[in-house]
Amino acid sequence: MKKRHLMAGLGALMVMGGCTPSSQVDNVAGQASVYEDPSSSGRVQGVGIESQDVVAMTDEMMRDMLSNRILAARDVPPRIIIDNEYFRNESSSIINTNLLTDRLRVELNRAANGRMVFVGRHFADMVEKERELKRDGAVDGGTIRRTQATAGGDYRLGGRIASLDAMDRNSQTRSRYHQVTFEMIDLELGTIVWSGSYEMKKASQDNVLYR
Amino acid sequence: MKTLIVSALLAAGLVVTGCQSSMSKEEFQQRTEDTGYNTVIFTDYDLNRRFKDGLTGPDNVMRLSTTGHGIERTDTGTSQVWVELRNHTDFNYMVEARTSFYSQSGRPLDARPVWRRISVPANARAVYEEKSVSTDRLQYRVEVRQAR
Repeated sequence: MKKRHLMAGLGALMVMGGCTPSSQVDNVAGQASVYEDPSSSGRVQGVGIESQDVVAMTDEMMRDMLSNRILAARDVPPRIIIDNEYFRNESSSIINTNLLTDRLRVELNRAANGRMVFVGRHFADMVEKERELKRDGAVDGGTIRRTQATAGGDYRLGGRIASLDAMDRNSQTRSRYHQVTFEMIDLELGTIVWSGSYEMKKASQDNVLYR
Repeated sequence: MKTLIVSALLAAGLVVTGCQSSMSKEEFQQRTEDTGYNTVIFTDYDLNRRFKDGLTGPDNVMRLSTTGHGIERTDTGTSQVWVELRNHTDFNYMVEARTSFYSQSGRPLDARPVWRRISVPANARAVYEEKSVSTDRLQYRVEVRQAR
């Protein structure tokens, strides 16, 4: 009797083994990728600097610069350099600082509408190459004008991202305080003519990876 | 006879349920009223809303409110809007606000509005400020919601 039961059990197992595939295709509707508003928190959130922070801080700095008399109310619009050459990330967050400086320059240039003039110093080599070709006679002089030299800047953006981390060992909750400073430097005197800062503190239990 | 009465009552109940809306007149009014310019709107109705909570419940739930708001010009001719928010609860609130600017004729102007975070401590007040990029004379509309 016992032998019979054992045989029956083994037979059933073999049948089940034959029916069950060794690898499976998860044939259910997955989570489709969706567009999210970059100025609002998304589904993936951690303690680092995220798109809504980039948008909020650059927008705030742009509006503040346009209300500064030295930068935005001169009879002759000042020449301004905004790039990440002097913008340092000293925080524990991984971020491409070009995200901040590029958005700030682009939005400011669009909003200033002639109240400020922006020098594309990060494109200096491109301009120099074209000027050389023109001076060598390889190409004609173009239709705009000839100048002795390219534009010098009056003010340049400098800044820093700093952070302070804390972690609760019991709950594994981590928090990060960010302080992002933006400063506009007079390129002759070395004085700081405008300053702005953006602070934020985030706490999270989720393990989000920033790249 | 009993069956007849029960059936009639059931039918009446169904008719009443079908006609009733889950939204009160007050809430509908708040959600659809013309907001106008130079105003502050709580787009998150959990923060500040009017509704009818049963027969004896309140008809106005208020967690946050505005105690004042206005607009003034900066040194460079741009405009600056300010809003003072008051937290009526015992809990700290993190909210987001954004300002849309309009010309005097009501045309949307200025840079795209961006949500900005403001912390309003329990039973305290906090000020939200926003500057325009345009030097035109502007009207404004501020929207407030809970931060996510």
